[in-house]
Amino acid sequence: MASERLWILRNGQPRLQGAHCGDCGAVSFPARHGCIVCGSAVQTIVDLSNRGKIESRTQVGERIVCEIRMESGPRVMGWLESGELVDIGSSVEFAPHENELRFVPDV
Amino acid sequence: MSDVAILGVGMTRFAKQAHRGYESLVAEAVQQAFEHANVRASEIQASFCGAATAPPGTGQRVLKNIGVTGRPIVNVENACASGSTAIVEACAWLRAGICDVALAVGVEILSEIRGPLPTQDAWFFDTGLNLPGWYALQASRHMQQFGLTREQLAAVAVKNRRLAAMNPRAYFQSPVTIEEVLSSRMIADPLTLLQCCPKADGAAAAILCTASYAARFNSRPVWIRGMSLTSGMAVFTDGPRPVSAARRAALAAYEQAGVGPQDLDLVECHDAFTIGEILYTEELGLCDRGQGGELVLSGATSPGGGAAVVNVSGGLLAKGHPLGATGIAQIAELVWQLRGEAGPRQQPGARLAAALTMGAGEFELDANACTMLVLECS
Repeated sequence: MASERLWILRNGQPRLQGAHCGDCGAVSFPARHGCIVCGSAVQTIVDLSNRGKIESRTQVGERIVCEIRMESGPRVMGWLESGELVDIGSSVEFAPHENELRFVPDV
Repeated sequence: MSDVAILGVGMTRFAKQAHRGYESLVAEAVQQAFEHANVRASEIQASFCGAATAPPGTGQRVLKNIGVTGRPIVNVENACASGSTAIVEACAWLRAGICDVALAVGVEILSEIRGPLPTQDAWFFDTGLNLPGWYALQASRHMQQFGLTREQLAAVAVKNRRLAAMNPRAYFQSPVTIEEVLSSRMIADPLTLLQCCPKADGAAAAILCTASYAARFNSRPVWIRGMSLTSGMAVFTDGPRPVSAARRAALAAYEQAGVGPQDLDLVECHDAFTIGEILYTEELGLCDRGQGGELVLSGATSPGGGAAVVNVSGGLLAKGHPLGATGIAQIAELVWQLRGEAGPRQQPGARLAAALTMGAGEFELDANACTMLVLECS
């Protein structure tokens, strides 16, 4: 499996690239050659939802860094464009900044 | 499974002493261990050197002046669990009958590295995350899920700074208050500066041997009754969070030793950040999940508190955390305690103890490595 891009533009929309395992069914991020759960090489790249909810967050320097559970998808790590330490459970949307996994509050 | 004995241990003070270099730090720790074990360099049949950030070949570099060359030297890197992994490797060789007596040593020079660790090239570090931030994410989740408070977090630093004041090898020698901990500079919310371990320089060493070799000595060896090493599992999936490496390592070592958390007199566990001690006391089963904050704030894990005394050495928070040396320094403290040699911080009657050491940095997994050792002195 080629890949290893964290996200691509599809119809002008940025889409996080996950992997669906043909053997164990796990969806994981990022896409990779073998399943991070079972090791199977039967992997299909899938577009993840662009929306998710914050499972945890902290502030490191200027950056708010979050663990985010994507809608019907895997956890990912990203940073949040926000002036405040938003609540756990808040909804966010993927809005990449150069190669970085940036999210913005989903209003 | 055949038992492995620890004949002796040694450790430098953990401090800012980068100018000494790896060789000097290791020589001091190993010479102490030789003397403590009443073993000569010529008796060592294999050596294992744990270091996380030191250059390749550090084992050969530091051991060449100590008289243990011409025999196997194995370099071990497992992040913050490099030193404890060196002990596990030595045990594996001893149990397999490859050698009868082995040296495990760990060393790190960190004080001249600026800023938080680590800085490797990976997509998750591009978010701005670092090791304090990774632990802070776990603390925030624990606060949300179980109601862990900032005061409970701070109580870990207060306890461990108080205990370190009785440990002449500790980096910090003075106590702090909850107010001082909470008002120190914010590093990664909710973790303030005094909730983060200092980047120390130091080394620690242990001499291990088979049961038949130990029988030649009159000293009271400390026995390794249980030993486990595991790695973390995938976090960024659509499934539930994996059972933590700490929980899996603890259960495996308990089973091997035939003991449970209620049997332990002492625990050294990986408090690189305050939340670490809270999480790992829970994963060790010293309390229910979600009760770790209450456990430490109640004083139960302080000397005389009724539960196992946790991090009587001062822990990583107050003793310092030279990564490769840390796991062996945890073992050194437990050996001194179990042999009744711990001076003013000696815990009376300590018989059974455990050390849990974590390594992290590959954040797609819940840990790089986790070791657990259960020690007994009868």
